[in-house]
Amino acid sequence: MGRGHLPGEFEQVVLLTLAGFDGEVRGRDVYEALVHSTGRDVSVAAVHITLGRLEEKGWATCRTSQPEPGRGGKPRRHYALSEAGAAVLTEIRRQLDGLWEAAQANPLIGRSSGR
Amino acid sequence: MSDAARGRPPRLARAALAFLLPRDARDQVLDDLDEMWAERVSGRSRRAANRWYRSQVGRAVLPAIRRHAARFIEDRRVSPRGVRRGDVMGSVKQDLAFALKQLKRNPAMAVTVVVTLALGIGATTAIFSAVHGVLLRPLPYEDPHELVMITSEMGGSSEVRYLSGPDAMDLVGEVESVGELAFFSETTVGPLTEVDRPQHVKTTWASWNAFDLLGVEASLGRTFVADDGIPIPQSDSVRPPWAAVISHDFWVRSFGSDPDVLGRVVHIWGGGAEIVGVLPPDLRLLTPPELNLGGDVDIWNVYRWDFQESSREGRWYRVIGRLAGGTDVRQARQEVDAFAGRLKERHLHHAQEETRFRVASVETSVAGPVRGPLVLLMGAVSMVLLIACFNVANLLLAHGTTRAGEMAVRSSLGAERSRLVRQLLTESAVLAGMGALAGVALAAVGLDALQAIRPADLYRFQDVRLDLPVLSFTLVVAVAATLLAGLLPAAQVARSSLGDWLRVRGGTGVAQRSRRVLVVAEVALSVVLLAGAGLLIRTLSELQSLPLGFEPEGVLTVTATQTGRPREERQAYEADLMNAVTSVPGVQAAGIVFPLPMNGVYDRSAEYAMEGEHADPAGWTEVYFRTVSPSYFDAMGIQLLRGRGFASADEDYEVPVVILDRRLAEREWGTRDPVGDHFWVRGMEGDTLQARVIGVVEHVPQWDHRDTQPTMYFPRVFYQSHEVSVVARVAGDPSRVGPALMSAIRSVDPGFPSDMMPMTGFVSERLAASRFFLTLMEVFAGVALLLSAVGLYGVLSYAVRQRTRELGIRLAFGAAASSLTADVVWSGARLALTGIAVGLLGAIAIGRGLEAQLFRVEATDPWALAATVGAVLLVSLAASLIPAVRAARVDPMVALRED
Repeated sequence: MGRGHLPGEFEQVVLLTLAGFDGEVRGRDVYEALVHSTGRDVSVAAVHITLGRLEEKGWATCRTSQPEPGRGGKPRRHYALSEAGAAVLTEIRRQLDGLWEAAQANPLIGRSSGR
Repeated sequence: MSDAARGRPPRLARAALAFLLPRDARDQVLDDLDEMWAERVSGRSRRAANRWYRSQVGRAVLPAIRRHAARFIEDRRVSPRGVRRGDVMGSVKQDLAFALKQLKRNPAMAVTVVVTLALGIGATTAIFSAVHGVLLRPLPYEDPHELVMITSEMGGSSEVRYLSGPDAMDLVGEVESVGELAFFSETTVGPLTEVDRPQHVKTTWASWNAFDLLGVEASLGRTFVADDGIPIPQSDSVRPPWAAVISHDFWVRSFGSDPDVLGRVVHIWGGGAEIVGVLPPDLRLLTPPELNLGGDVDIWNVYRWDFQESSREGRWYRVIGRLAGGTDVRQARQEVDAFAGRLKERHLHHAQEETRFRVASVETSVAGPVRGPLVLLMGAVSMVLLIACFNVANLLLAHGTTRAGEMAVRSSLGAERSRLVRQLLTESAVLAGMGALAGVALAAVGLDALQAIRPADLYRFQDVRLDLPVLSFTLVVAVAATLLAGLLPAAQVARSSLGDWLRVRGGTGVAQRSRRVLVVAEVALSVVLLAGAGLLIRTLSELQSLPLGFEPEGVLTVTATQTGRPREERQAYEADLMNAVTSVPGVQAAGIVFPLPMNGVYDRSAEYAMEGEHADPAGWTEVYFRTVSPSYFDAMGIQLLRGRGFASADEDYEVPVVILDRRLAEREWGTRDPVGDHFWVRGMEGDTLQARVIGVVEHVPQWDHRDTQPTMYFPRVFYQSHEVSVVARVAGDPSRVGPALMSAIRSVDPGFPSDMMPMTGFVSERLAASRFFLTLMEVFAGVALLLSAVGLYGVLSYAVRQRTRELGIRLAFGAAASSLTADVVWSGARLALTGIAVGLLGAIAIGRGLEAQLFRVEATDPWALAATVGAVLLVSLAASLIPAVRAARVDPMVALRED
């Protein structure tokens, strides 16, 4: 694991999106879910590169499948959330919750969340 | 839909992605994108799918670069002596070691190449440092791009005039895009008196806001403040000293860098100036040459009057403005044009004189007359560099052919071709690096020489030096030289194979042809340079052959300034001066004038109108105005063409008498004799009076050699200036009479400054800039010719060596040695003639660009072109003779035994 580092902002978003799936998914599935739920204008390449990095850091697992007959014989990668990934997401959630609790006291925040 | 019907995603975009993506993500991304693109094609339009695909490429750039960078850093961290890096560094080191070994093995070639490149790079660096220092370095002002110079013109004339106080004040009030204006006088030489050593200093008047407007601060004390500029009524009899700011140089020179200089009062023009500040060192106030202002001014005096109160007709103020925020020169120009229109409606004389204003950016007009020659020189040294590179390429090609065997063997033993190319490029890079080092040393020496021979007042050349921007330019030049010189030989190697080498045994046809093309190009470039230099030589000789109208040889001049004396005393002083000077042994004739012709600083003019036209403002014409003593024409050797010269009695006439110069007589009287006629003159004090012509003298160019503006001469009494220049024609060596002359003049009144200079010094200073640029052009053209001769020699002697066998056989079969010599000379001449033909076309094209620098010489001047062709032919012949003679001396037996 990344020596106590927390994921960067985009890494978090990709990791959370990955966590939304039950089991293994492909890069394009993560891309589509991310675009769908956040409306962000990201690229397929950015998602793939980030998934690769998450795997290096141990927050995601990757399995390369056998080449499928219909796709020109190339292998495919399937990603899933790892236990370390789940732990890091939980840690981020905990930190954010603490911050949010303190922030609720701010009348500006209270007002906007009250509406 | 089938794959075939759907087609493929945009090919270029896909290739770009494949190139961009890190290897580990490449296939996955491309596969997914292909798939999603295909879905979009079947779902929506193909065009929308393509657009989506392309947008994916754009957005992949940043993440991909970030990933590459992270990988790169990670690799270095994981294995500091890692395999990947070690591989590259190791082979570079190997290449370098090998290159050095090669050079050591062939020191003659290495030295030739390094010297050649050093010449090219050194010349380019030296001239670029001048271009950088003079043209590219920002002006020493705050936001210099906001500064504009505003001048005026009248009627159809393009002569530069300045602005009157009220016009300028109205302009800054009405034209919104001009935020502020500062007023300046022209820079003149004034007398600094009541000091240990009276001297002439360069002085300028400026409005109190001048330094604020330019954004210049004092290094000691302060610059002007608003209180300094409070107008002093003319009627006040007691006038307190005005505030003055002095240059750093003057502070060091005249006050020994004394910090207590602040508050001191110096006397200039008889008035008191209180020093309030010293400007920073190395700060030269640079203004466009049209303003005749700035440069190495010693003392800046503050104006103490209300500009609104001065005359609207008197256009004496040089004006520099700062544009209001967010506006540009073009906008200012439009507004100022509209303002000029309004002025014409309000003031009759503006309508009559058709006043126009010119707004020009200070930044672009400041380099003025130096810009053209400098750009020209930069072009010339680029050509020298190009020739040097071609020469080196030529040498390396020849060298490459002799090494073809080595390369072929290495290649057949499994060395990659790219590796061999890299090896050769490394060699030329090492050569270029050494050439660049030697070139920088050469440039430093060259710059010193350049500074030593340049005219003292050449714009901004004081600031020229080898600095970081210049050296980085040299680096770029060295890289360019490597590629220019090394690429062709390297490509040659890449193309050849062991088979080729075995078949041809060195010197493929392609290599030979490339070398000939290079030599032709070298000759052509030298022809262009020589022709350019030739045109400039012709121009200078045309200028020098222009008649001066006087004989400067043997004339000594002394300029002295008197202030604070009433007119009658000045008259008596001048009489004493004449007595003292004429009694100096060796002085044959002496006279008084002011200002001296071709003095380079002072200028006086006045207007005249012909009888019957003086009531019309348009009837007045400006000409030079000089007041002289009766013996002036004699002393200067100015020929009297009609009538008579001045006599002492002329000073008492009711109607002033005038002597015209030939050009004025011809302009207004044609072939008629003007002697005895009257015409109207507007004097220095603005009074209009009638004058009677008593004689005509030869035309004297008052400013520089090509000045054709006529002059009117009056007796001294007509306008007795504070300054006088004594001209003394002496027998024998002027430098022997000089000291006695000086002490005679000082003895009349030691309280005022006086400077001595031989008249020939003024005359040659007027041409100093032209001569300076010409000298540089000659040097570069000479180097170019030398280099191309070396190139030609190289190609021919190599060809002779290649043909030893053939020549030997021909000799053995009875060919005459002379026919072999002729053969080689002819092959050299063919190359030279081709180069000359191409070069002549180039020279004519370049000559058109040169026209601004030419005088009475056409770009196609037959003399310059013929001399060029002759010189190139002669040098080419010399270069081919040695190989030709060697060809004739081939021993048939030895030649046939070879191989």
